Amino acid sequence: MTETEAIRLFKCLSDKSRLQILKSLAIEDMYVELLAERLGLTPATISFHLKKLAEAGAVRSYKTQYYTMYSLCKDVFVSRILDIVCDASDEAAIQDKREAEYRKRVIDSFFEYGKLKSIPAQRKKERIILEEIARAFEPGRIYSEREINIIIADFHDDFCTIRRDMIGEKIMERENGNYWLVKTKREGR
Amino acid sequence: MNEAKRNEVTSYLEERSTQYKGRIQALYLDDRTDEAIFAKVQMNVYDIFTTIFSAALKTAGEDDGEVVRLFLTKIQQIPQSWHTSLQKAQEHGDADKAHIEYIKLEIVAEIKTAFERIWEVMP
Repeated sequence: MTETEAIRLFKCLSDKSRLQILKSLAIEDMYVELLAERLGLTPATISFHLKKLAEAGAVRSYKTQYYTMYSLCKDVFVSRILDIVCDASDEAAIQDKREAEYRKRVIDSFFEYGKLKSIPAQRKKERIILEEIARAFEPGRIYSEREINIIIADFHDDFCTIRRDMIGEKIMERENGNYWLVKTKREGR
Repeated sequence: MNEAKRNEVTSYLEERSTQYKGRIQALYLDDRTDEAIFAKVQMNVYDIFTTIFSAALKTAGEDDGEVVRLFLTKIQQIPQSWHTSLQKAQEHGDADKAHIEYIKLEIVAEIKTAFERIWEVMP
């Protein structure tokens, strides 16, 4: 199910009358007048809702000798909501581009000739700065505290704060005076 | 001048409008948003014809025949553009618009029937 289809379906379902129609059709196929009778709505209103449901792929119609019958498209409802949510976004590329542009702006304004001008006060920006500094470390390699300090000092004099914040942000991990980069989900992609 | 019939029409239109006003709120609270919008459209039609009837009373003065003539003329004229809109919406498969025009026309027919019953006009 595409994002557009999912949005259309969810919008369509967020209406009590339409949900009642679907509940009725889950019992058996029905025609407009019968649904109108059951739900206490006018046939015109039922037709309106059925058209919306058909557009969202939730119901289908077929003709019999006397009536146009409506049935539930059960296959549409087999999709799990979690699967829809976890599906790659149609806008993923645009979102990634926006994020990359923002990161570049932050890096450009806080770094000058490879040196960090100041540590950002805003956590979101500091995280970007820390990630940028973390690129100086090799993934998988274990560093001593002294090695860490020397590398960070190339960027900024306050290496203690940066080192501590890298641990706090879970960019690095520490044990018995040894440090290493944490593998992020982003890197795992 | 038939004061009773004049009052009956006014009361009918105002009562129906009030009923729809209550229905709108109830439908919203019941998560029936589309139907709430439709009820609002229906209420608006009653309000339009309440205004038209009131204008007809002012224009016609004490002449009851003139009140009936003016109101029935307007009730024929005004929905003409709604008929056209309905037709266009149906041609373009615009279900939302088509349904709105349809219910407007339904209310007009209801008002006309009630008006003719009150004034004992032969349809």
